[in-house]
Amino acid sequence: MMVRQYSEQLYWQVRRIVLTHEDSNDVLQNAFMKAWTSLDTFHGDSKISTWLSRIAINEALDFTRKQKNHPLQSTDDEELGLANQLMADNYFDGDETEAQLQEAIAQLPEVQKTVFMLRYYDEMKYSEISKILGTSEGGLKASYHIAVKKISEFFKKND
Amino acid sequence: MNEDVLIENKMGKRNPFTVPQGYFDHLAEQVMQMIPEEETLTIRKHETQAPAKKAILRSLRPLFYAAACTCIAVFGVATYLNLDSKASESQQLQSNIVTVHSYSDSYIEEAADYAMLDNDDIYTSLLADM
Repeated sequence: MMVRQYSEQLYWQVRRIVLTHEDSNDVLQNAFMKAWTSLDTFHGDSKISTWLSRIAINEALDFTRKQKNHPLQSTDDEELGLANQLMADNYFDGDETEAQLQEAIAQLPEVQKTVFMLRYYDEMKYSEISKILGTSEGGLKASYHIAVKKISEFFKKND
Repeated sequence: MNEDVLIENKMGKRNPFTVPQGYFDHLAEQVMQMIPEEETLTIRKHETQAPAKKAILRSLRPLFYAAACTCIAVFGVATYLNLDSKASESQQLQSNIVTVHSYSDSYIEEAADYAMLDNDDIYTSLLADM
């Protein structure tokens, strides 16, 4: 029931961080397993969707961290650039500008990246994001504005 | 105009990612299939751990028996030695008592004889010695 209700929302949160479908599928399944095994630690202090988002996003960030430390991509792929890799992905149907936006987001630090995606795509309130990331609302607002500035600069540089 | 509005105007908020057809229909099933597997694995793990413990105990059984035998032997010898020393001690004590007892009887008799001597007996005995 819980899986059916929240899987799609959680999948997109994970996918925007991890970027490929295969990796997102693995990360999401791991997140559900973690949620299942630690279900007794959920005391209802927050909404179950918030608790699940926290687990899924942490799992996705962990995954990207590990990938950075042990890159599986070949040097050819790295030289190709993330935007070009996305354009070649069967499960990406965006145009070049959308691929570049994903590349710009991927370059942001973890908190800025997460707050930008939750705010920009999911239009989530800062109070809700604060519960997921465990950061103050003021800090999140600052992170969001820095993220927006960095993305704008990325496009100015590439124009 | 805010920079995020500029980004929105330029790129929109469309989700550029896609998933295989019917992915979300099967996702819940896929996850639910994983949960019993994990649980079975945990149960199996417990099941394999228990026989492993039993096997270790079984292999250590001769050692336990040997240790028990040694304990019994040591205890038996110690008890025997303890009893033996006690018996000899009591025997020695008894002989001491008997000696003291016999010694004291003869001494008392002699003392009594000596005590019953009067002056005439003493003169007689002195004259007899001369």
